[in-house]
Parts: sequence; structure tokens; C-alpha cells
Amino acid sequence: MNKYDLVLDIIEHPDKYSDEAIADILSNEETARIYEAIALTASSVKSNDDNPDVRKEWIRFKKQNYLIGIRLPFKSGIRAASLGFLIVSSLAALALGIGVSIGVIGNKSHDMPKRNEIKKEYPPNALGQDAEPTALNDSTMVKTTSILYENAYLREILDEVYKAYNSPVKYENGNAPKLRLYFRLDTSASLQETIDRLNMFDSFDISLEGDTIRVK
Amino acid sequence: MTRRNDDIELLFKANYTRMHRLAVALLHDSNEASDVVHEVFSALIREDVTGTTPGYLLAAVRNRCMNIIRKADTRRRLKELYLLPGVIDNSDDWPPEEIFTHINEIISEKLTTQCRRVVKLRFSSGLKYSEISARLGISEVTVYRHLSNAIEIIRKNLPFYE
Repeated sequence: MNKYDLVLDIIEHPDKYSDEAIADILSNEETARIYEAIALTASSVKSNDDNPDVRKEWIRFKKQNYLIGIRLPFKSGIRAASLGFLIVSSLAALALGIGVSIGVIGNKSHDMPKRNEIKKEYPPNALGQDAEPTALNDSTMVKTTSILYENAYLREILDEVYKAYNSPVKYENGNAPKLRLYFRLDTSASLQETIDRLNMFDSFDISLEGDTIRVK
Repeated sequence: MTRRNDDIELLFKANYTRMHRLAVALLHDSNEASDVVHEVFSALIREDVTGTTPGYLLAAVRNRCMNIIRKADTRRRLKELYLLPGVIDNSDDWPPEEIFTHINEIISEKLTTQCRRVVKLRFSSGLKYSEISARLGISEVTVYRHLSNAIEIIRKNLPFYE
């Protein structure tokens, strides 16, 4: 058996070999390098195939970590039967119906925004009411401070940054304007803070030179 | 949603794919890779880490994966095809992505069609040699031959790695 076949054999049929035999085989420089090449090939193929569903993983992460403000009413995986038991046993059927409907409403409130949707959020006015702008009373108009961009072009986001901070944008990277991002723009933050948050993405580099925003 | 959760969500969505790919490259298991990435973000919440950069997140993934690999016994390492401890490096750019790109190019361009099929079935689908043999209607000895040829060709075409 040549060295390649030997290494392939200990990988495929390790039960044929004792721990000492395996250690002895891998202590040889040549067989160790063959094993290393096999391991790197596995890494290359698997990472090339990798295509995680980021949205699904984010939803799973939220549920497992009970992030403040998006706490789900019921722990994921609890079955309706358990809810009925927890509420009142004699009213189990009714409780199940209530429990399920609350869960559904609760879940809907935490649905992720639709693709390409720009959601504008309005802080409450002095009366504590949602301050959606109305034509009747300009004094209740509240400036939008938070805009959520879901899969939007960087150009769109930076157009808004320009409007909010009155800083022109200069692109030195032809591909950058067409990059799609998920980003929450908070115009109550400073321009530098906004730029720092955008620079969390690897695909471009943004700097502030004087009043001009440069995108490389 | 609080501002802090906004930042976590932003970091998560911006960096998840790259972090997951690194974890898969090291652990060779998508579910385990997901767990590692989730643990990194859970730690960010617990430790209230501010000023987090993509480099920090990747380093955190790498460290967790290295710990898993170091704790694995020899048989687990063989089963999962983990890299040997002596090869593992703690530098920021390890494992170098260009090696993975190069190996994938070699697989695409320098292997015969049948050899490439065997490589994909073994490393992508995780089939045993006996299963590959049954799937392709070839002997197990031929499976060994294709795999050893593939690894030899990969080694010969990565001179900087050798």
C-alpha cells in the first residue's frame, strides 16, 4: 500500500488501526503532509459549497437569545399542549385557542421587513402619540431619524446621507454604488459615526475628507 | 428594537456569511459552524462588546474552531478531517483563502471528470468509499485510486504550499 492509500485507509477505516498505529503513521512527515492536503481539500470543497441562509439564522438567533424589544411571547418549540397545561387545565381548549392566536399576532409583529422595503420610523410626539406627519398640523411633524434599508443599493443609502448631513459623496470605486446592503441609517448620529458603521462592511472603504464623503 | 440590538442585527447580517464560511472551512460541518457563529454573537451580547470589527468577529470564530479542533482526539480528527494541531496557525489571515480558491480551481480544471466526481462525492457529499463505489458503479480500489491521484495533483499544483 503506498502512502496515499495508507492515509486514505486510516481515514476511511480507522477501526482497523490502533491509536498508536495512527499516531505513528501521521508522525511521518510525508504521510502528515498527505493528510494535510486531504484536510485542506475538504476545507476548500466545503467552504466553496457553503451558502448559509442568513435570514433564517438571524431569526433562530433572535429566538435563542431573547433580544430586548423583540422578545417572543412564547419560547420556540413549546407545543400548544404545553401552553394549555400552563394556563388552566380545565380551560385547556379555550386557553389553547388564546395562546395560539396571541402567538400568531406576536410573531407577526416580529416579521422581518420585506425585501427592498424602506421603513421610516417616527418617534412619538409630545403627546406620546405616533407622530406620523399630517398636513393639518405642521407643528406635530417630526423629522425622520431612523431609516431601515433592506437589501438597498449603497448609492440610495449615501444619497440619504448626503441629504441628511449635506456632505457630497464621491465614488472612487465603480462597483460600490451597486452593492446591496442591509443597513439602518440613524440621522441623529454624527456623520463620522454613520461612516464608521458603514465601514463594518468589507466591500468598500468610506472616509470623510473635509465635507466630502469618499467611497473607495 | 433598542439601538444595541440594531447593531447586533447589522453585524450579524453583514458578517454571518464570511464567518460561517471560515467555520465550515475549519470544522467541515455546517451545523457546527452555525453554532460557533451564534456563540460569537451571543458572547457579544453578554459581554457588551463595542467597536466590533469584521476582523474581530473572524478571529473569534477562528479561536472557537481551534479550541474544538485541539480538544478533539485523534479519531475524531480523522473522522472530521480536521487539520493536525501542528499545522494550525493563530495568525489573522489563516487559513489563507487563496489556497482554497486554488484547490477548487485545480479540482475544476486539472482532474478528470470521473476523478472530480469522486472528490465531490467524498468531500462535498461526505459519502464513504463503499457508497461512492456503489453510486458510480466502480470498485472501491478505483475510488482509492481516484482520490490518491486527486491529492497528488493538488499537492503538485500548490508549490507555495509545499
